[in-house]
Amino acid sequence: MTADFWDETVISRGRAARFRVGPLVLTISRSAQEWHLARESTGDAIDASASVEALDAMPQAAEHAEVTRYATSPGSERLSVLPVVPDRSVVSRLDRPLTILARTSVTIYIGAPVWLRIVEPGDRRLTEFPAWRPKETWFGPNTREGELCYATRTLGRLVLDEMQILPHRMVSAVSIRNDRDEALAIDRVNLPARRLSVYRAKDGRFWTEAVTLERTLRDEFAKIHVGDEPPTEAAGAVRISGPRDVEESGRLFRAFGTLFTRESP
Amino acid sequence: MNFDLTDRVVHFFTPERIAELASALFILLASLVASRFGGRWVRRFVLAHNDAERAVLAGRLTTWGLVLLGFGMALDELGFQLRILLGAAGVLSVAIGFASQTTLSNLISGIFLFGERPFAVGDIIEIDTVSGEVLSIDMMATTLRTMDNRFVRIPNELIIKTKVTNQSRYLIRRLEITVAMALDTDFARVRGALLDVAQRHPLCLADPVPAVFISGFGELSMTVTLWLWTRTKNLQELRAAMTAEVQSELQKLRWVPGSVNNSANK
Repeated sequence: MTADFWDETVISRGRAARFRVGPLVLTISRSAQEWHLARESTGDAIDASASVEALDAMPQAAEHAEVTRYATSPGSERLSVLPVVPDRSVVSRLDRPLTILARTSVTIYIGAPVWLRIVEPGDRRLTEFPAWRPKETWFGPNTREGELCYATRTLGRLVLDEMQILPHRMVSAVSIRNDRDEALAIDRVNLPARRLSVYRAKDGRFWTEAVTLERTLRDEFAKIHVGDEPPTEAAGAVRISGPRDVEESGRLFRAFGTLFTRESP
Repeated sequence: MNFDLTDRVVHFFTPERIAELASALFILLASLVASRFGGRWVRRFVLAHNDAERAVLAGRLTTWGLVLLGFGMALDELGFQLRILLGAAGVLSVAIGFASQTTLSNLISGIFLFGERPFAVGDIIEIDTVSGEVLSIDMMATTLRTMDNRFVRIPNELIIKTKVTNQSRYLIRRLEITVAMALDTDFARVRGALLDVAQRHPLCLADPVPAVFISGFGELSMTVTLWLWTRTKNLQELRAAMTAEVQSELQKLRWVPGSVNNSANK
C-alpha cells in the first residue's frame, strides 16, 4: 500500500482499501466488474487523519454510509483518490471584518475544502465529492445577481503558523492590494477556486497558487491575478492536480463582500 | 369538341410557355431548398446568441418568408400580376382578420411573449390559478405541465392580460416559516434555537443569513417568523424538512400553543 492517499492504489478482486481523509472515511471495494464506494463522516471538521489501509476482504458497509457502485472492465484494479479544487468559488467570511488601510497590501491565508476525485488510470473518472461538505452560500450585490458558492468561515489569519494542517483543506495565500486613497473594509473574500491547482508542500499542507486581488475603482470589484506557483511559504510544493477552468489573469471579478462602502483612514 | 380541347392544350404548351413553366418550377424548388437551409442557418445563428424559443421563431419566419418569396417569383415568371394578387390578398386578410380576431390576438400576443420573455421553457410559472413547468411557448398558446402531471394549454392572449409569476427565474428563493406562540414565550431562546436549526441544515444558504423576528401580536399570542434562503430547486425539500425540524426543536423548548405555517415569499 502506498504512503500518500492520492497515490495510485491497487485493489485486487475481492479486496478493499479504506481511505481516511480528515473526517471522511472512504471504503473502496473491488468485486468482479465493479467498484463499490462507501462514504461515512466522523463529523469532526478538524480531524487530521490521512491514511490508506489495505483490507483483505470486502467489508459490509455501515448502515448510514452512502454507497455507490461503478461498473468497470474486469482487468481494472488500480485507482487514485486525487485531491482537486472545489467545483465552485469559495466565499470565506471573516470572523471579524478586516480594514485594509489606504495604499496597503496584505496577505490573508484562507482555507477551503478539497474535493476528492476517484479516477482509474487514463483519467476515467468514477466520481468526486468533498472530504468535508461546506454549506452553500450566495455571493452578489443582491439576490438577483450573483453566484452560488461554497461558504467557509475564517479568522482571516495573517500568520500561517496559526493555521492547522488538515488533509481535507487547502490553503490559499490571498494578497489584497488596496492602491486607493481610501481604506477597504471587507467581511468576505471570494476565492476563484475553479481556476486554481492543488499542491502539496513538504510539511503535508495542501496549497493553491498565490492569488492577488487588486482593488479597482468600484469597491466590490477586483482585478485578479493567479500566480504560476504556490507562495514561497509552501516550500518544495509539488503539483497534485490542475485547475478546472483556465482563464486569463487580470479580469475583473467580484471579490469582496464589503461591510462599509467607504471608510476614511 | 375533343379536337378543340387537344388543340387548345397543344397551343397552350408552346415552347415559350414550357420554358416559363420550367423556370417557375425551378424557382419554386430552389426557394424550397433555400428556405430549408436558410431557416436552419438562421435558427442556429440566433441560438448562438439567444434562447431556443427565439431561434425557433426566427427560423420559422425565415423559412416561410423564403417560401412566399419563391412562390411570388414563380407566379411572376408565369405572367401573373402580383400587384393585383397582393391587393386581393390584402382584402382577404382583412376579412379573415375580422372573422378570427381571437386567433390574431393570440398570434400577436405570442410575438410579444417572444420579445418580452417573461419566462422560458423549463421555468415554473403561475398564471391565474394554474402553476406548472413551461413545456412550450408557441405562436398561439403556451403549454404547461402542472405539478400533479396534467397538461394545460393557455392561450397567449390570456397570458398577456393576466399576472404571471415566474417561480424559478432566480437561482435562490426565500422560505418563510411562521409560528404562533404564547405572549410570555422567551423569544431570545426561541430565536437562538431556530437559527441553530437553520445553520445545521445543509440546504439552507449561509448567505443571505437566516433571520428570526416577531412579525405580529394577537390578543393572546405573537407570531414569530423565520426567513431562510435556499436554491430555488431545493425549496420544496427544505420546506418539508424545516417544518418538521422547527416543530421538533420547539417541542424541546416546551413551546405552548400555536401552529407552524410556511410559505415561500413571492
